[in-house]
Amino acid sequence: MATDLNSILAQNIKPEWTVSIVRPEQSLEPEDGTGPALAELDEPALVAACLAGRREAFDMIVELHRRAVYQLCYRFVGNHEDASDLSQEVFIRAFRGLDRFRGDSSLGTWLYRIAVNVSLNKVSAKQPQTEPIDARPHIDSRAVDPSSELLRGERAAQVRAAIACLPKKQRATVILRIYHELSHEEIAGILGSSVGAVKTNFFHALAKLRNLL
Amino acid sequence: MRHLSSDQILDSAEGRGEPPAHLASCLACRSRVEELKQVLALAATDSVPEPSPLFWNHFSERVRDAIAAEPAPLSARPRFSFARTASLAAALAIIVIGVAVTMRTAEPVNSVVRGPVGLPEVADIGGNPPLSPPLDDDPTWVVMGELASQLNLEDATEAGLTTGPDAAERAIAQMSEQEQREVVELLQAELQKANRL
Repeated sequence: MATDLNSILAQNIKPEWTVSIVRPEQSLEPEDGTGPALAELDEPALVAACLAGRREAFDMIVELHRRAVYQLCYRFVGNHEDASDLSQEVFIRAFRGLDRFRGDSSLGTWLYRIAVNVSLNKVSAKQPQTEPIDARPHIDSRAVDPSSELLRGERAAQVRAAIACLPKKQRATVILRIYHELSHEEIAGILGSSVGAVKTNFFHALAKLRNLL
Repeated sequence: MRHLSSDQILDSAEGRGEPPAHLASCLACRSRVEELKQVLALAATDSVPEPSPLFWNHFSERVRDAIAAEPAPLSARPRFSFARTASLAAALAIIVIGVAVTMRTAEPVNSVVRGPVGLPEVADIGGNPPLSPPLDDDPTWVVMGELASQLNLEDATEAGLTTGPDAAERAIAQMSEQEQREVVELLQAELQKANRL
C-alpha cells in the first residue's frame, strides 16, 4: 500500500504542489520566549500560566504555599516525615487537578481543601505518630527558664494529644480555625459543610478539649 | 431567663461582634465564655516545629521531580475540538483534491506567469490554449474554493497545519489503512481520467 502510494506521489506530484503538515511540539514556554516574569504574576495568572504549559509557574505556587500546607499536614499527623510526604502529595494532586481550580476561593483555600482530604485519609488509616522529643527543634536553654519551657512543652503535647482525639471534622475545624485563622465560611467551603455546622462543630470541639486538657 | 446559644457563646469567646447584654447579668454564660477563651488561648500556644531551612529547597525539588513525571494539566493538553477536526478534514480534502487537479493537467501548460505555490500556472495569453477547461468553470476548483472558504485559518494554525516542503506524504502517513486505500483509489481514478484526456 505504502509503496503504491509513494510511487504515485513521486510520479505525479510536482514539487511546488506539495503541502506539508507540521505539528509544532507542545511549547512549555511562551512562543516569543518573553512571557511575563513569574514573580510578577498573581495567583490566578500563575494558575493560567501553569495550565498553558509553563510548569515553572507551579514551582512558584509551591514556594508560596509549601509552608502553610506543611504546617496543616503536620497538625494532622504530628511528625515531620509524614507531614513532608503528605505535603508533597497535596501539591501533586493540586497539579493534576489544576484545571478544576475555578478561582471561586483563593488558591490557598483550595490547597487547604486538598490537604485536609489527604491528611484525613492518612489519619484514618493510621494513628498519628507524634514527634519524638529528640526531633523537636533545639531551643537554647540558657535563654529561657528550663522549667517553664518544660511545662510549655508538656502543655503543647497535651494540646496535640487532645486535638488528635477529636472526631475528624471537629479536628479539621479546630486546626483550620485556630492555627490557620480561616473564617467559618472558608472552613465550611473546605469541609463541604454549612457555616452553622462548622460553628456547632467548633463549639463542641472546644468543649471536648476543655474536658481533655 | 434565657441563656446564650452555643453560637453566641462561641462568638463571644472569639470576640466577634458586640457581646450580648445577657453576659453582664448571667454568671453561668459568662463562665462558659471564659472557659472557651481559656481553651482557645491554650491551644494557640502550640506551634509546629519549623523544619530546617534546607528542607524547603529539598521539598521543592522533590515536588518538581514528581511533577515532571506527571502529564501536563488538562488544559495544556490538546483536546478534541470539532472546529479543529473539521479544519483538519477540510485541509485534508484540499490536499487530496489539489493532488487530483494536478494530475488532471497531464500535459504541460506553457506559461510565463507563475502563481503562488500551490496554484496552477496561468496560461500565456499568446501561447497555446490550455488543454484543461478554464479554472473558473472547473467544478473541482469550485469545491476547493468552498472548502478553503470554510477553513478557519486560526483553527488550522492552532491544529498545527502549516505549509512547508514535505508533501502530503506526512498527512497521508497519518491516515488509517482504509483511508490510504481510498486516497489511492481516488488518485488512480484521476490518473485514468487524465490519461483519457
